[in-house]
Amino acid sequence: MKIRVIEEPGAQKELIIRCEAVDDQIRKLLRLINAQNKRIVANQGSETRILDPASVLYCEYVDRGVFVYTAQEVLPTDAALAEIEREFSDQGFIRCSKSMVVNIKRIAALRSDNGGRIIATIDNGEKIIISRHYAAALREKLSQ
Amino acid sequence: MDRFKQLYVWAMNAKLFMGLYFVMLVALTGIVTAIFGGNSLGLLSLLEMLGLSVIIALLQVVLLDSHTDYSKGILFSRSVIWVIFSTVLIVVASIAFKWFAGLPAWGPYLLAGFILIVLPGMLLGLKWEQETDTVRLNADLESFKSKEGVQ
Repeated sequence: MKIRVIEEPGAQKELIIRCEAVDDQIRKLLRLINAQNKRIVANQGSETRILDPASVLYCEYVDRGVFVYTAQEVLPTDAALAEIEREFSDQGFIRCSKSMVVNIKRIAALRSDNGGRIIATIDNGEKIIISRHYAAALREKLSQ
Repeated sequence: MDRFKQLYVWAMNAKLFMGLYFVMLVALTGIVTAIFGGNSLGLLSLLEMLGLSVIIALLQVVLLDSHTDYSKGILFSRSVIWVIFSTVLIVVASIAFKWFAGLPAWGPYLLAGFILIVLPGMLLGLKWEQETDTVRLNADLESFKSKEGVQ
């Protein structure tokens, strides 16, 4: 891969990746770049989508793949759930079950449930159950 | 190992309720006995109450724990079944195991009356606990969002 940096006085920072098709190497590079910009990389068919974490409701591991849920769409991502949890914890992402990471900023309401569990209503009206184990971490994060 | 942990936590929850119901049974049976002029409970009766407490707690965990939403009230099909079934069990056990031997025959029914007040009271306590926790959780959520600049 050829890397070229052009310095121009007064130019706005811009990064263009020119390639025949987005492959694993490019995806990895995008993830690295986005670790700086804190964006979530998702796929839509042959397109790669860069998502603002604020637009993400939650991410879920389903059938050997991780999916990113926004208010409008569900997109697969190559990122692992643990990676999303780690990279975006400072932006309000928290593990709420073995297979789900939720964006606290997109939780509309919380309800205490039996056995120490919490039921979270997401902005789109969906309800998710947070088990006692993960509820403790959520309580701690909220009270920080 | 995960299965074992789940089972352990489930059993621990059941044991907490079991302890509560054992204290309730001993106290209420003691009160009924005292009302009729008695002054002691047999050791065997205490063991029987302990066994019965295990059954009532397990019934609660099975019938109510993972399905319960107390926000709309404490009396619904599963909770009513639990209260009635537990009360019947206690009355049958108190008669079968002669907890009120030598005392008037309506002792078990007086105990049932107390149980019918105490068990829904327990559910009411759980409901209030949930409501208080929900208010606190949502206050913390709002505070978190405002700190993070979320509208």
